[in-house]
Amino acid sequence: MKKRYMSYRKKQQIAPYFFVTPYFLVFIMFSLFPIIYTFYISLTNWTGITKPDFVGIANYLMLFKDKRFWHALVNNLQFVVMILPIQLSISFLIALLLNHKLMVWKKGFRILSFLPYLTTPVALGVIFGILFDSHMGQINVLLEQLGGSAIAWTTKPWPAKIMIVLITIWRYAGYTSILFMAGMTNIDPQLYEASEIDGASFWQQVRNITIPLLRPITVFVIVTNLIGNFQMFEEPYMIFTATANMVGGPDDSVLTGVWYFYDTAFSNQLRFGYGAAIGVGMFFVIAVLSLTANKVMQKGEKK
Amino acid sequence: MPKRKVTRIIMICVIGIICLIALFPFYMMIMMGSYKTTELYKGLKLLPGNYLLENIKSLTQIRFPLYYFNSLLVAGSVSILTVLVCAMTGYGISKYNFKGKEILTAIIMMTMMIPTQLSLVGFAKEMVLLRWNNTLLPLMIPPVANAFGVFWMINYTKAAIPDAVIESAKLDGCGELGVFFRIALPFMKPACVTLALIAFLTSWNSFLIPLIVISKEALYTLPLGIKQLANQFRTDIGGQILALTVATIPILFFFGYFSDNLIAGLASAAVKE
Repeated sequence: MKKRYMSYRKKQQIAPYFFVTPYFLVFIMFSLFPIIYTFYISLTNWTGITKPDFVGIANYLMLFKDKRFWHALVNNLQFVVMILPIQLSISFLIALLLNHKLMVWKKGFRILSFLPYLTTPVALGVIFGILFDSHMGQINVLLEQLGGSAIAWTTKPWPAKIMIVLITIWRYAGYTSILFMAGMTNIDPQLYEASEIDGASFWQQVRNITIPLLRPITVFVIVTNLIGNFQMFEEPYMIFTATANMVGGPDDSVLTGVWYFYDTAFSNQLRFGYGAAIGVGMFFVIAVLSLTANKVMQKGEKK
Repeated sequence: MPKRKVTRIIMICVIGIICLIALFPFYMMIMMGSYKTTELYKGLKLLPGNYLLENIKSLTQIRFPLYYFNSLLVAGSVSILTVLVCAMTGYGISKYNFKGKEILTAIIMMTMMIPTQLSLVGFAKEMVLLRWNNTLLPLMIPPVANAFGVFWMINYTKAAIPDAVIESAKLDGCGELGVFFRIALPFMKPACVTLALIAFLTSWNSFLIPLIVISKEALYTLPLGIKQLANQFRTDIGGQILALTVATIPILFFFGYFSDNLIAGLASAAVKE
Protein backbone atom coordinates (compact mmCIF):
# COMPACT_ATOMS: atom_id res chain seq x y z
CA MET A 1 0.00 0.00 0.00
CA LYS A 2 2.76 2.37 1.00
CA LYS A 3 4.78 1.48 -2.05
CA ARG A 4 1.86 2.24 -4.26
CA TYR A 5 1.42 5.66 -2.70
CA MET A 6 5.08 6.48 -3.28
CA SER A 7 4.94 5.55 -6.89
CA TYR A 8 1.82 7.66 -7.23
CA ARG A 9 3.67 10.72 -5.93
CA LYS A 10 6.55 9.97 -8.23
CA LYS A 11 4.26 9.54 -11.19
CA GLN A 12 2.68 12.87 -10.39
CA GLN A 13 6.08 14.51 -10.69
CA ILE A 14 7.22 12.73 -13.81
CA ALA A 15 3.94 12.80 -15.71
CA PRO A 16 4.03 16.45 -16.87
CA TYR A 17 7.49 15.97 -18.35
CA PHE A 18 6.27 12.90 -20.12
CA PHE A 19 3.39 14.90 -21.62
CA VAL A 20 5.47 17.81 -22.89
CA THR A 21 8.49 15.83 -24.11
CA PRO A 22 7.28 14.83 -27.59
CA TYR A 23 6.48 18.42 -28.47
CA PHE A 24 9.79 19.82 -27.30
CA LEU A 25 11.72 16.99 -28.87
CA VAL A 26 10.24 17.77 -32.27
CA PHE A 27 10.59 21.50 -31.62
CA ILE A 28 14.29 21.26 -30.76
CA MET A 29 15.08 18.92 -33.64
CA PHE A 30 13.12 20.57 -36.41
CA SER A 31 12.58 24.19 -35.42
CA LEU A 32 15.38 25.27 -33.14
CA PHE A 33 18.20 23.25 -34.67
CA PRO A 34 17.48 24.40 -38.27
CA ILE A 35 17.49 28.03 -37.11
CA ILE A 36 20.90 27.67 -35.44
CA TYR A 37 22.25 25.59 -38.31
CA THR A 38 20.98 28.12 -40.84
CA PHE A 39 22.75 30.88 -38.96
CA TYR A 40 25.96 28.84 -39.02
CA ILE A 41 25.62 28.15 -42.77
CA SER A 42 25.08 31.87 -43.35
CA LEU A 43 28.63 32.43 -42.09
CA THR A 44 30.06 30.16 -44.79
CA ASN A 45 30.31 30.28 -48.56
CA TRP A 46 28.85 26.82 -49.03
CA THR A 47 27.51 26.07 -52.49
CA GLY A 48 26.82 22.38 -52.19
CA ILE A 49 29.69 21.38 -54.45
CA THR A 50 32.70 22.81 -52.65
CA LYS A 51 33.50 22.36 -48.99
CA PRO A 52 32.14 25.23 -46.91
CA ASP A 53 34.71 27.85 -45.89
CA PHE A 54 34.02 30.04 -42.91
CA VAL A 55 33.72 33.59 -44.20
CA GLY A 56 32.45 35.44 -41.13
CA ILE A 57 29.93 38.15 -41.83
CA ALA A 58 30.91 38.49 -45.49
CA ASN A 59 27.50 37.24 -46.63
CA TYR A 60 25.77 39.84 -44.50
CA LEU A 61 27.94 42.65 -45.84
CA MET A 62 27.07 41.46 -49.33
CA LEU A 63 23.39 41.23 -48.40
CA PHE A 64 23.43 44.77 -47.11
CA LYS A 65 24.61 46.01 -50.50
CA ASP A 66 22.47 43.60 -52.50
CA LYS A 67 20.11 45.77 -54.53
CA ARG A 68 17.96 42.83 -55.52
CA PHE A 69 17.36 41.89 -51.88
CA TRP A 70 16.24 45.42 -50.97
CA HIS A 71 14.20 45.60 -54.13
CA ALA A 72 12.36 42.43 -53.10
CA LEU A 73 11.68 43.86 -49.65
CA VAL A 74 10.38 47.10 -51.18
CA ASN A 75 8.07 44.98 -53.35
CA ASN A 76 6.79 43.23 -50.24
CA LEU A 77 6.22 46.58 -48.53
CA GLN A 78 4.40 47.92 -51.58
CA PHE A 79 2.15 44.89 -51.49
CA VAL A 80 1.37 45.45 -47.82
CA VAL A 81 0.57 49.12 -48.39
CA MET A 82 -1.69 48.37 -51.34
CA ILE A 83 -3.35 45.26 -49.94
CA LEU A 84 -3.98 46.07 -46.28
CA PRO A 85 -6.39 49.04 -46.49
CA ILE A 86 -8.49 47.48 -49.24
CA GLN A 87 -8.57 44.05 -47.68
CA LEU A 88 -9.43 45.41 -44.24
CA SER A 89 -12.31 47.48 -45.64
CA ILE A 90 -13.75 44.67 -47.73
CA SER A 91 -13.42 42.17 -44.89
CA PHE A 92 -15.00 44.58 -42.44
CA LEU A 93 -17.87 45.15 -44.86
CA ILE A 94 -18.42 41.40 -45.25
CA ALA A 95 -18.35 40.94 -41.49
CA LEU A 96 -20.82 43.81 -40.94
CA LEU A 97 -23.20 42.40 -43.52
CA LEU A 98 -23.00 38.81 -42.27
CA ASN A 99 -23.42 39.97 -38.70
CA HIS A 100 -26.41 42.22 -39.42
CA LYS A 101 -29.71 41.12 -37.90
CA LEU A 102 -31.62 41.63 -41.16
CA MET A 103 -29.24 39.41 -43.13
CA VAL A 104 -30.34 36.02 -44.45
CA TRP A 105 -28.41 32.88 -45.58
CA LYS A 106 -25.48 33.96 -43.41
CA LYS A 107 -23.88 30.54 -43.27
CA GLY A 108 -23.99 30.00 -47.02
CA PHE A 109 -22.49 33.39 -47.82
CA ARG A 110 -19.83 32.87 -45.20
CA ILE A 111 -18.70 29.58 -46.70
CA LEU A 112 -18.69 31.00 -50.23
CA SER A 113 -16.56 34.00 -49.27
CA PHE A 114 -14.25 31.65 -47.37
CA LEU A 115 -13.61 29.18 -50.22
CA PRO A 116 -10.67 31.10 -51.79
CA TYR A 117 -8.75 30.79 -48.54
CA LEU A 118 -9.17 27.01 -48.60
CA THR A 119 -7.81 26.51 -52.10
CA THR A 120 -4.27 25.28 -52.65
CA PRO A 121 -2.16 28.39 -53.37
CA VAL A 122 -0.12 26.62 -56.05
CA ALA A 123 -3.27 25.79 -57.98
CA LEU A 124 -4.42 29.39 -57.61
CA GLY A 125 -1.15 30.57 -59.10
CA VAL A 126 -1.70 28.42 -62.18
CA ILE A 127 -5.38 29.34 -62.53
CA PHE A 128 -4.72 33.06 -62.22
CA GLY A 129 -1.75 32.76 -64.56
CA ILE A 130 -4.13 31.48 -67.19
CA LEU A 131 -6.97 33.89 -66.39
CA PHE A 132 -4.72 36.97 -66.32
CA ASP A 133 -2.72 35.96 -69.42
CA SER A 134 -1.77 39.18 -71.22
CA HIS A 135 -2.62 37.93 -74.67
CA MET A 136 -5.98 36.29 -74.49
CA GLY A 137 -6.65 35.54 -70.82
CA GLN A 138 -10.31 35.49 -69.87
CA ILE A 139 -9.93 38.58 -67.67
CA ASN A 140 -8.70 40.65 -70.60
CA VAL A 141 -11.45 39.25 -72.82
CA LEU A 142 -13.97 40.25 -70.17
CA LEU A 143 -12.45 43.74 -69.90
CA GLU A 144 -12.67 44.18 -73.67
CA GLN A 145 -16.27 43.01 -73.78
CA LEU A 146 -17.15 45.47 -71.04
CA GLY A 147 -15.73 48.23 -73.25
CA GLY A 148 -12.30 48.53 -71.64
CA SER A 149 -8.97 47.62 -73.12
CA ALA A 150 -6.68 44.67 -72.44
CA ILE A 151 -4.07 45.12 -69.72
CA ALA A 152 -0.55 43.69 -69.92
CA TRP A 153 -0.89 41.88 -66.57
CA THR A 154 2.00 39.50 -67.02
CA THR A 155 4.38 41.60 -69.08
CA LYS A 156 4.45 45.09 -67.50
CA PRO A 157 5.67 45.82 -63.95
CA TRP A 158 2.78 47.78 -62.46
CA PRO A 159 -0.04 45.71 -63.93
CA ALA A 160 1.80 42.65 -62.59
CA LYS A 161 1.93 44.17 -59.12
CA ILE A 162 -1.76 45.06 -59.25
CA MET A 163 -2.58 41.55 -60.40
CA ILE A 164 -0.84 40.14 -57.32
CA VAL A 165 -2.65 42.67 -55.10
CA LEU A 166 -6.02 41.65 -56.55
CA ILE A 167 -5.30 37.95 -56.17
CA THR A 168 -4.16 38.35 -52.57
CA ILE A 169 -7.20 40.39 -51.59
CA TRP A 170 -9.41 37.87 -53.33
CA ARG A 171 -7.83 35.04 -51.40
CA TYR A 172 -7.82 36.56 -47.92
CA ALA A 173 -10.89 38.83 -47.73
CA GLY A 174 -13.22 36.07 -46.57
CA TYR A 175 -10.70 34.75 -44.07
CA THR A 176 -10.13 38.16 -42.50
CA SER A 177 -13.87 38.78 -42.33
CA ILE A 178 -14.17 35.64 -40.20
CA LEU A 179 -11.73 37.12 -37.71
CA PHE A 180 -13.75 40.35 -37.62
CA MET A 181 -16.98 38.40 -37.17
CA ALA A 182 -15.47 36.50 -34.26
CA GLY A 183 -14.59 39.84 -32.69
CA MET A 184 -18.07 41.20 -33.29
CA THR A 185 -19.79 38.31 -31.57
CA ASN A 186 -17.58 38.99 -28.56
CA ILE A 187 -18.97 42.52 -28.20
CA ASP A 188 -21.55 42.81 -25.44
CA PRO A 189 -24.97 43.18 -27.15
CA GLN A 190 -26.13 45.40 -24.31
CA LEU A 191 -23.87 48.14 -25.66
CA TYR A 192 -25.88 48.18 -28.87
CA GLU A 193 -29.18 48.01 -27.04
CA ALA A 194 -28.23 50.92 -24.81
CA SER A 195 -27.10 53.07 -27.72
CA GLU A 196 -30.26 52.21 -29.62
CA ILE A 197 -32.32 53.56 -26.73
CA ASP A 198 -30.21 56.71 -26.94
CA GLY A 199 -31.27 56.97 -30.58
CA ALA A 200 -27.96 56.11 -32.23
CA SER A 201 -28.12 55.18 -35.91
CA PHE A 202 -26.58 52.02 -37.35
CA TRP A 203 -23.52 53.86 -38.68
CA GLN A 204 -23.05 55.71 -35.39
CA GLN A 205 -23.02 52.34 -33.65
CA VAL A 206 -20.46 51.05 -36.12
CA ARG A 207 -18.24 54.07 -35.61
CA ASN A 208 -18.55 54.37 -31.85
CA ILE A 209 -18.91 50.77 -30.70
CA THR A 210 -17.91 48.22 -33.34
CA ILE A 211 -14.73 49.79 -34.69
CA PRO A 212 -13.18 50.78 -31.34
CA LEU A 213 -13.96 47.44 -29.74
CA LEU A 214 -12.54 45.53 -32.72
CA ARG A 215 -9.19 47.16 -32.18
CA PRO A 216 -7.39 44.08 -30.74
CA ILE A 217 -8.59 41.99 -33.68
CA THR A 218 -7.51 44.68 -36.09
CA VAL A 219 -4.03 44.71 -34.55
CA PHE A 220 -3.90 40.93 -34.90
CA VAL A 221 -5.05 41.10 -38.52
CA ILE A 222 -2.54 43.78 -39.43
CA VAL A 223 0.40 42.02 -37.79
CA THR A 224 -0.42 38.59 -39.22
CA ASN A 225 -1.04 40.18 -42.60
CA LEU A 226 2.31 41.87 -42.49
CA ILE A 227 4.06 38.62 -41.63
CA GLY A 228 2.00 36.71 -44.19
CA ASN A 229 2.81 39.22 -46.88
CA PHE A 230 6.51 38.85 -46.31
CA GLN A 231 6.08 35.12 -46.78
CA MET A 232 4.29 35.48 -50.11
CA PHE A 233 5.69 33.06 -52.65
CA GLU A 234 3.40 30.49 -54.28
CA GLU A 235 1.14 32.71 -56.35
CA PRO A 236 3.70 34.99 -58.05
CA TYR A 237 6.11 32.07 -58.39
CA MET A 238 3.58 29.88 -60.18
CA ILE A 239 2.26 32.67 -62.39
CA PHE A 240 5.67 33.59 -63.70
CA THR A 241 7.52 30.28 -63.72
CA ALA A 242 4.82 27.79 -64.66
CA THR A 243 4.88 28.58 -68.35
CA ALA A 244 7.88 30.84 -68.78
CA ASN A 245 10.91 31.06 -66.54
CA MET A 246 10.49 34.67 -65.47
CA VAL A 247 11.97 34.80 -61.98
CA GLY A 248 10.67 37.96 -60.33
CA GLY A 249 8.15 38.74 -63.05
CA PRO A 250 8.60 41.69 -65.44
CA ASP A 251 11.61 43.73 -64.27
CA ASP A 252 11.56 41.90 -60.94
CA SER A 253 8.38 43.81 -60.14
CA VAL A 254 6.78 40.95 -58.19
CA LEU A 255 9.95 39.38 -56.80
CA THR A 256 9.18 38.73 -53.12
CA GLY A 257 11.70 38.17 -50.36
CA VAL A 258 10.92 34.48 -50.02
CA TRP A 259 11.07 34.04 -53.78
CA TYR A 260 14.53 35.65 -53.93
CA PHE A 261 15.56 33.43 -51.02
CA TYR A 262 14.30 30.30 -52.77
CA ASP A 263 15.90 31.27 -56.05
CA THR A 264 19.28 31.96 -54.48
CA ALA A 265 19.48 28.98 -52.15
CA PHE A 266 17.63 26.27 -54.01
CA SER A 267 16.30 26.87 -57.46
CA ASN A 268 19.07 27.70 -59.89
CA GLN A 269 21.99 29.02 -57.97
CA LEU A 270 22.38 26.66 -54.99
CA ARG A 271 24.24 29.30 -53.00
CA PHE A 272 23.40 27.86 -49.59
CA GLY A 273 25.60 30.23 -47.57
CA TYR A 274 24.23 33.37 -49.13
CA GLY A 275 20.70 31.97 -49.23
CA ALA A 276 20.89 31.27 -45.52
CA ALA A 277 21.97 34.88 -44.97
CA ILE A 278 18.94 36.08 -46.93
CA GLY A 279 16.74 33.90 -44.72
CA VAL A 280 18.25 35.34 -41.56
CA GLY A 281 17.99 38.87 -42.96
CA MET A 282 14.32 38.39 -43.84
CA PHE A 283 13.74 36.97 -40.39
CA PHE A 284 15.01 40.17 -38.77
CA VAL A 285 13.08 42.41 -41.12
CA ILE A 286 9.86 40.54 -40.32
CA ALA A 287 10.58 40.59 -36.58
CA VAL A 288 11.29 44.35 -36.56
CA LEU A 289 8.24 45.13 -38.68
CA SER A 290 5.81 43.05 -36.65
CA LEU A 291 7.16 44.37 -33.34
CA THR A 292 6.92 47.96 -34.60
CA ALA A 293 3.42 47.41 -35.91
CA ASN A 294 2.40 45.89 -32.61
CA LYS A 295 3.90 48.76 -30.65
CA VAL A 296 2.39 51.49 -32.81
CA MET A 297 -1.02 49.89 -32.58
CA GLN A 298 -0.78 49.35 -28.82
CA LYS A 299 0.21 52.99 -28.33
CA GLY A 300 -2.84 54.12 -30.22
CA GLU A 301 -4.95 51.98 -27.97
CA LYS A 302 -3.91 53.75 -24.81
CA LYS A 303 -4.78 57.17 -26.18
CA MET B 1 -41.80 47.25 -42.95
CA PRO B 2 -40.78 48.10 -46.51
CA LYS B 3 -37.67 50.00 -45.41
CA ARG B 4 -36.31 46.89 -43.75
CA LYS B 5 -36.98 44.95 -46.89
CA VAL B 6 -35.06 47.44 -49.03
CA THR B 7 -32.12 47.34 -46.65
CA ARG B 8 -32.14 43.57 -46.74
CA ILE B 9 -32.20 43.44 -50.55
CA ILE B 10 -29.32 45.90 -50.79
CA MET B 11 -27.31 43.88 -48.31
CA ILE B 12 -27.95 40.63 -50.15
CA CYS B 13 -26.89 42.28 -53.41
CA VAL B 14 -23.62 43.54 -51.96
CA ILE B 15 -22.67 40.25 -50.35
CA GLY B 16 -23.92 38.43 -53.44
CA ILE B 17 -21.55 40.39 -55.66
CA ILE B 18 -18.65 39.70 -53.29
CA CYS B 19 -19.43 35.98 -53.32
CA LEU B 20 -19.73 35.99 -57.12
CA ILE B 21 -16.25 37.46 -57.35
CA ALA B 22 -15.02 34.84 -54.88
CA LEU B 23 -16.49 32.08 -57.03
CA PHE B 24 -15.62 33.51 -60.46
CA PRO B 25 -12.17 31.89 -60.83
CA PHE B 26 -13.57 28.50 -59.79
CA TYR B 27 -16.41 28.83 -62.26
CA MET B 28 -14.06 29.84 -65.07
CA MET B 29 -11.77 26.95 -64.20
CA ILE B 30 -14.60 24.44 -64.50
CA MET B 31 -15.87 25.94 -67.76
CA MET B 32 -12.46 26.27 -69.38
CA GLY B 33 -11.70 22.62 -68.72
CA SER B 34 -14.28 21.67 -71.34
CA TYR B 35 -12.64 23.55 -74.24
CA LYS B 36 -9.93 22.83 -76.74
CA THR B 37 -6.84 24.94 -76.07
CA THR B 38 -7.06 26.82 -79.37
CA GLU B 39 -10.70 27.66 -78.62
CA LEU B 40 -9.72 29.14 -75.27
CA TYR B 41 -8.02 32.01 -77.05
CA LYS B 42 -11.20 33.04 -78.81
CA GLY B 43 -13.60 35.01 -76.67
CA LEU B 44 -15.20 34.63 -73.28
CA LYS B 45 -16.01 31.10 -72.14
CA LEU B 46 -18.91 31.45 -69.75
CA LEU B 47 -20.69 28.30 -70.93
CA PRO B 48 -19.35 24.76 -71.13
CA GLY B 49 -17.68 23.64 -74.35
CA ASN B 50 -17.67 20.31 -76.14
CA TYR B 51 -14.12 19.12 -75.62
CA LEU B 52 -14.47 17.74 -72.10
CA LEU B 53 -14.07 14.08 -73.09
CA GLU B 54 -10.88 14.76 -75.05
CA ASN B 55 -9.42 16.66 -72.11
CA ILE B 56 -10.33 13.83 -69.76
CA LYS B 57 -8.40 11.47 -72.04
CA SER B 58 -5.26 13.57 -71.71
CA LEU B 59 -5.61 13.44 -67.92
CA THR B 60 -4.81 9.74 -67.89
CA GLN B 61 -1.14 10.66 -68.40
CA ILE B 62 -0.97 12.23 -64.95
CA ARG B 63 -0.51 10.20 -61.82
CA PHE B 64 -3.05 12.17 -59.82
CA PRO B 65 -4.25 9.21 -57.74
CA LEU B 66 -0.68 8.81 -56.50
CA TYR B 67 -0.32 12.51 -55.62
CA TYR B 68 -3.67 12.43 -53.89
CA PHE B 69 -2.60 9.39 -51.93
CA ASN B 70 0.70 10.98 -50.88
CA SER B 71 -1.03 14.20 -49.84
CA LEU B 72 -3.66 12.29 -47.88
CA LEU B 73 -1.00 10.21 -46.17
CA VAL B 74 1.04 13.27 -45.21
CA ALA B 75 -1.83 15.54 -44.18
CA GLY B 76 -3.63 12.71 -42.40
CA SER B 77 -0.66 11.72 -40.29
CA VAL B 78 0.26 15.35 -39.61
CA SER B 79 -3.22 16.06 -38.32
CA ILE B 80 -3.39 12.97 -36.08
CA LEU B 81 0.11 13.45 -34.66
CA THR B 82 -0.37 17.20 -34.20
CA VAL B 83 -3.54 16.67 -32.22
CA LEU B 84 -1.96 13.99 -30.04
CA VAL B 85 1.26 15.91 -29.35
CA CYS B 86 -0.41 19.29 -28.84
CA ALA B 87 -3.18 17.86 -26.66
CA MET B 88 -0.60 16.11 -24.48
CA THR B 89 1.49 19.25 -24.16
CA GLY B 90 -1.50 21.49 -23.53
CA TYR B 91 -2.83 19.11 -20.91
CA GLY B 92 0.57 18.71 -19.27
CA ILE B 93 1.08 22.44 -19.02
CA SER B 94 -2.38 23.45 -17.89
CA LYS B 95 -3.11 20.64 -15.44
CA TYR B 96 0.24 20.13 -13.69
CA ASN B 97 2.62 22.28 -11.72
CA PHE B 98 6.21 21.46 -12.45
CA LYS B 99 9.64 23.01 -12.65
CA GLY B 100 10.32 24.82 -15.91
CA LYS B 101 6.66 25.26 -16.77
CA GLU B 102 6.94 29.04 -17.18
CA ILE B 103 9.95 28.81 -19.46
CA LEU B 104 8.35 26.17 -21.67
CA THR B 105 5.17 28.24 -21.97
CA ALA B 106 7.23 31.31 -22.88
CA ILE B 107 9.05 29.35 -25.59
CA ILE B 108 5.75 28.24 -27.09
CA MET B 109 4.42 31.81 -27.13
CA MET B 110 7.59 33.11 -28.75
CA THR B 111 7.66 30.52 -31.50
CA MET B 112 4.08 31.22 -32.52
CA MET B 113 5.15 34.20 -34.61
CA ILE B 114 8.35 32.80 -36.12
CA PRO B 115 8.18 32.18 -39.87
CA THR B 116 9.97 28.85 -40.06
CA GLN B 117 10.41 29.01 -43.83
CA LEU B 118 13.41 31.23 -43.43
CA SER B 119 15.49 28.57 -41.73
CA LEU B 120 14.93 26.26 -44.67
CA VAL B 121 18.58 26.10 -45.68
CA GLY B 122 19.49 24.53 -42.36
CA PHE B 123 16.36 22.40 -42.45
CA ALA B 124 17.14 21.04 -45.90
CA LYS B 125 20.71 20.19 -44.92
CA GLU B 126 19.48 18.54 -41.74
CA MET B 127 17.16 16.35 -43.79
CA VAL B 128 20.11 15.24 -45.92
CA LEU B 129 22.13 14.44 -42.78
CA LEU B 130 19.25 12.39 -41.36
CA ARG B 131 18.76 10.75 -44.78
CA TRP B 132 15.20 11.98 -44.65
CA ASN B 133 15.44 13.70 -48.00
CA ASN B 134 13.34 11.89 -50.56
CA THR B 135 11.13 10.40 -47.92
CA LEU B 136 7.84 11.87 -46.77
CA LEU B 137 9.09 12.21 -43.18
CA PRO B 138 10.17 15.89 -43.46
CA LEU B 139 6.55 16.71 -44.31
CA MET B 140 5.06 14.46 -41.64
CA ILE B 141 7.08 15.01 -38.46
CA PRO B 142 8.34 18.63 -38.15
CA PRO B 143 4.88 20.33 -38.45
CA VAL B 144 3.74 18.33 -35.41
CA ALA B 145 5.36 20.88 -33.07
CA ASN B 146 2.59 23.35 -33.74
CA ALA B 147 2.89 26.28 -31.32
CA PHE B 148 -0.55 27.61 -32.11
CA GLY B 149 -2.00 24.16 -31.46
CA VAL B 150 -0.43 23.95 -28.01
CA PHE B 151 -1.42 27.49 -27.13
CA TRP B 152 -4.95 26.66 -28.05
CA MET B 153 -4.98 23.37 -26.17
CA ILE B 154 -3.66 25.05 -23.02
CA ASN B 155 -6.50 27.56 -23.06
CA TYR B 156 -9.07 24.97 -23.95
CA THR B 157 -8.06 22.43 -21.31
CA LYS B 158 -8.03 25.09 -18.60
CA ALA B 159 -11.68 25.86 -19.17
CA ALA B 160 -13.05 22.55 -20.40
CA ILE B 161 -11.78 19.99 -17.91
CA PRO B 162 -12.77 20.50 -14.25
CA ASP B 163 -9.88 19.67 -11.91
CA ALA B 164 -12.31 17.79 -9.67
CA VAL B 165 -12.99 15.27 -12.43
CA ILE B 166 -9.28 14.57 -12.84
CA GLU B 167 -8.77 14.27 -9.09
CA SER B 168 -11.62 11.85 -8.59
CA ALA B 169 -10.44 9.70 -11.48
CA LYS B 170 -7.00 9.51 -9.88
CA LEU B 171 -8.53 8.59 -6.51
CA ASP B 172 -10.35 5.80 -8.26
CA GLY B 173 -6.99 4.40 -9.21
CA CYS B 174 -6.72 5.68 -12.77
CA GLY B 175 -3.09 6.21 -13.84
CA GLU B 176 -1.78 9.51 -15.20
CA LEU B 177 -1.92 8.26 -18.77
CA GLY B 178 -5.31 6.68 -18.21
CA VAL B 179 -6.66 10.00 -16.97
CA PHE B 180 -5.38 11.74 -20.07
CA PHE B 181 -6.67 9.24 -22.60
CA ARG B 182 -9.91 8.22 -20.91
CA ILE B 183 -10.99 11.40 -19.10
CA ALA B 184 -9.22 14.44 -20.57
CA LEU B 185 -9.20 13.64 -24.28
CA PRO B 186 -12.98 13.18 -24.54
CA PHE B 187 -13.42 16.59 -22.91
CA MET B 188 -11.01 18.07 -25.47
CA LYS B 189 -12.69 16.51 -28.47
CA PRO B 190 -14.10 19.70 -30.06
CA ALA B 191 -10.72 21.42 -29.86
CA CYS B 192 -9.03 18.32 -31.24
CA VAL B 193 -11.33 18.14 -34.25
CA THR B 194 -10.71 21.78 -35.12
CA LEU B 195 -6.95 21.52 -34.66
CA ALA B 196 -6.90 18.36 -36.77
CA LEU B 197 -8.66 20.24 -39.57
CA ILE B 198 -6.35 23.25 -39.43
CA ALA B 199 -3.27 21.01 -39.37
CA PHE B 200 -4.68 19.05 -42.30
CA LEU B 201 -5.41 22.19 -44.31
CA THR B 202 -1.96 23.68 -43.70
CA SER B 203 -0.22 20.45 -44.60
CA TRP B 204 -2.39 19.85 -47.66
CA ASN B 205 -1.57 23.28 -49.08
CA SER B 206 2.10 23.30 -48.12
CA PHE B 207 4.39 23.82 -51.09
CA LEU B 208 7.78 25.37 -50.34
CA ILE B 209 9.06 22.63 -48.03
CA PRO B 210 8.01 19.74 -50.32
CA LEU B 211 9.50 21.66 -53.24
CA ILE B 212 12.84 21.76 -51.47
CA VAL B 213 13.06 18.32 -49.87
CA ILE B 214 11.31 16.10 -52.40
CA SER B 215 12.57 15.42 -55.88
CA LYS B 216 11.36 11.87 -56.48
CA GLU B 217 8.22 11.96 -58.55
CA ALA B 218 6.79 8.93 -56.76
CA LEU B 219 6.68 10.98 -53.53
CA TYR B 220 5.07 14.11 -54.99
CA THR B 221 2.27 15.63 -52.98
CA LEU B 222 -0.57 17.31 -54.83
CA PRO B 223 0.96 20.83 -54.95
CA LEU B 224 4.14 19.40 -56.49
CA GLY B 225 2.01 17.42 -58.92
CA ILE B 226 0.24 20.64 -59.90
CA LYS B 227 3.54 22.38 -60.48
CA GLN B 228 4.78 19.55 -62.67
CA LEU B 229 1.51 19.55 -64.53
CA ALA B 230 1.96 23.20 -65.46
CA ASN B 231 5.24 22.26 -67.11
CA GLN B 232 3.99 19.10 -68.73
CA PHE B 233 0.84 20.66 -70.16
CA ARG B 234 2.47 23.89 -71.26
CA THR B 235 0.67 23.86 -74.58
CA ASP B 236 -2.48 22.03 -73.50
CA ILE B 237 -4.20 24.67 -71.40
CA GLY B 238 -7.55 22.91 -71.67
CA GLY B 239 -6.17 19.69 -70.21
CA GLN B 240 -4.17 21.58 -67.62
CA ILE B 241 -7.11 23.50 -66.27
CA LEU B 242 -9.29 20.40 -66.15
CA ALA B 243 -6.55 18.74 -64.14
CA LEU B 244 -6.57 21.71 -61.77
CA THR B 245 -10.31 21.24 -61.32
CA VAL B 246 -9.74 17.62 -60.39
CA ALA B 247 -6.96 18.64 -58.02
CA THR B 248 -8.82 21.38 -56.16
CA ILE B 249 -12.60 20.91 -56.21
CA PRO B 250 -12.99 17.60 -54.32
CA ILE B 251 -10.98 18.82 -51.37
CA LEU B 252 -12.93 22.08 -51.37
CA PHE B 253 -16.08 20.09 -50.69
CA PHE B 254 -14.32 18.37 -47.83
CA PHE B 255 -13.15 21.65 -46.28
CA GLY B 256 -16.44 23.34 -47.06
CA TYR B 257 -18.29 20.62 -45.19
CA PHE B 258 -16.13 21.19 -42.10
CA SER B 259 -15.96 24.95 -42.51
CA ASP B 260 -17.81 25.65 -39.24
CA ASN B 261 -15.14 23.83 -37.30
CA LEU B 262 -12.32 25.40 -39.27
CA ILE B 263 -13.75 28.87 -38.87
CA ALA B 264 -14.13 28.41 -35.12
CA GLY B 265 -10.48 27.42 -34.84
CA LEU B 266 -9.09 30.16 -37.07
CA ALA B 267 -11.18 32.78 -35.31
CA SER B 268 -10.12 31.65 -31.86
CA ALA B 269 -6.54 32.56 -32.70
CA ALA B 270 -7.59 36.17 -33.11
CA VAL B 271 -9.87 36.54 -30.08
CA LYS B 272 -7.40 35.10 -27.62
CA GLU B 273 -7.21 38.15 -25.36
